[in-house]
Amino acid sequence: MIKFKSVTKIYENGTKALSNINLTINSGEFVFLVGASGAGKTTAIKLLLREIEPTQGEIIVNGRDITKLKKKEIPFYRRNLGVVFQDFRLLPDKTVYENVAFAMEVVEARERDIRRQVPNVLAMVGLASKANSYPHQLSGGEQQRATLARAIVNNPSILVADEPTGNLDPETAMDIMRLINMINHRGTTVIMATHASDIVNAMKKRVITFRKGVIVRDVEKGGYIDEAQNF
Amino acid sequence: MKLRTFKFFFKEALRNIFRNRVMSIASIVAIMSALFILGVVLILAFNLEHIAGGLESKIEITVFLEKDVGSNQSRSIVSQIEQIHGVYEVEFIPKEKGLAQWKKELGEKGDLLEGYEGNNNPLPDKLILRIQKPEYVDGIISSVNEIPEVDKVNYSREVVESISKIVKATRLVGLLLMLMLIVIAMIIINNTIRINVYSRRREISIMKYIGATDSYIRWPYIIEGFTLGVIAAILAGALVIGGYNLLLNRAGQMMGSYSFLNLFQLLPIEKMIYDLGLAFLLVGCGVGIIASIISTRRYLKA
Repeated sequence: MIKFKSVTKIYENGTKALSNINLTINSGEFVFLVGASGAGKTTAIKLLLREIEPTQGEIIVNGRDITKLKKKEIPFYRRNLGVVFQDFRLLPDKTVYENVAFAMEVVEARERDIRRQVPNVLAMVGLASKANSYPHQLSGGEQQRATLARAIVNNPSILVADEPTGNLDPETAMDIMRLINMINHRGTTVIMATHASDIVNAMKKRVITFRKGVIVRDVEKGGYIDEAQNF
Repeated sequence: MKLRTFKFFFKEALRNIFRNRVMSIASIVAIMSALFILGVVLILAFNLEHIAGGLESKIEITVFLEKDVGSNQSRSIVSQIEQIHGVYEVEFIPKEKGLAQWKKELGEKGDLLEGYEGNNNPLPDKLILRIQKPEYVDGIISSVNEIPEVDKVNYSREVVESISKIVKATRLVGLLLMLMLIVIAMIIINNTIRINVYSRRREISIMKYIGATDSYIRWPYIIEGFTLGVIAAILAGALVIGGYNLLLNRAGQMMGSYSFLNLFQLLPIEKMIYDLGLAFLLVGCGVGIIASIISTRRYLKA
């Protein structure tokens, strides 16, 4: 479970990115964070990843207030999270297999587990045949599949996706969404920030809309509402 | 830490060194220069101390007694001096023996001293004092001077004192020079590692998202600094030892023709090789590791 309690974030330059946010996301939920650029969704994700600390408030993840984590504990906290970005962020000099295995090596998994787990995950995202390809030999959709494989290879309880379909054509984007949905069905909580209204509308999931640092809308099985029309 | 993880770190470190050849070589040369100076300073200091030590052990205080002192009286003076703190040994040379020695030294011209035997002997009885440490010299001399039968005390203090001054000065200048070079070496390594870290900031940021600990991210760079330090230490060691051996050979040839130089015999390299090696490795690795820690710290925040 993820809980934001009266969270306010003011950046050092004085920008108020989030003001007094209260938000609860249950385990296993699928949540879209939507809103214009600068509305606060990226700040919310950075807070969740513990890249930044809130100016005020508490953020409880799986029973722990992550704002109180010691610097040494942050890497271990992050092992609960899988992260996917718009720009993939695969290592160019490693193959798909090595990129995924790297995520396990970094957390010092056993070699035996790596050899067993990586092919499993690659098969799951449909990249078994591309295991020995390098990122530049893959299409955008395949690269995003590889990053998804990397994100879930350590079985995180939460998957955080920041505009994962931003660089993909609509059809490929829907493929990726089906994959993320499948990951969600395995029990992983999914939090996804996006601008893609067609995807949000098609998925019929919980939608949280940010505007100027506050949550203006939070509906189950919602759709993407263009701010220009409604506000 | 697991062996496999460590192997991975080592591989990464070597890859970094190779990928950044020019900066790696610059770092090695920088540490090597600092170590080379350290080596020269150490060898100089060792040798000067060796020479000073040799002289000290040869330092003797020569005491001449009044001419009219009888031999029984002389013996009681000897036992009196033997009691003085710091005196190691007292050798009594009665005037007859002194004359005989003198004659022997003159060799063929010894007959010049013909007729000075017995009561005509112009020499006084002589005592040669060997001392434990140079610090005791002043006390011994003043104690000896208090004995009424003592005529004159001879001691060549200047040589020993000036040598120990030179040793101190050499050490100081050498250390300052070395510190300067170490700082320069550190700056260069710091830059080398920073370039590596910078060129891999993407990888580092991914590692952080995945949940790699700071020490996991940092280890390859520390090993990199360590490796650069070890390579530099080995090269500097070879250079210094090779150079010194060359010097020893040259010196050996010179010694052959001028035997008085034997006093200033250089130490054989075997006597210093462990101290030098240890100093090189410690300083080399230390500099490499510290520079890596400093240069990675900035990139690992948050």
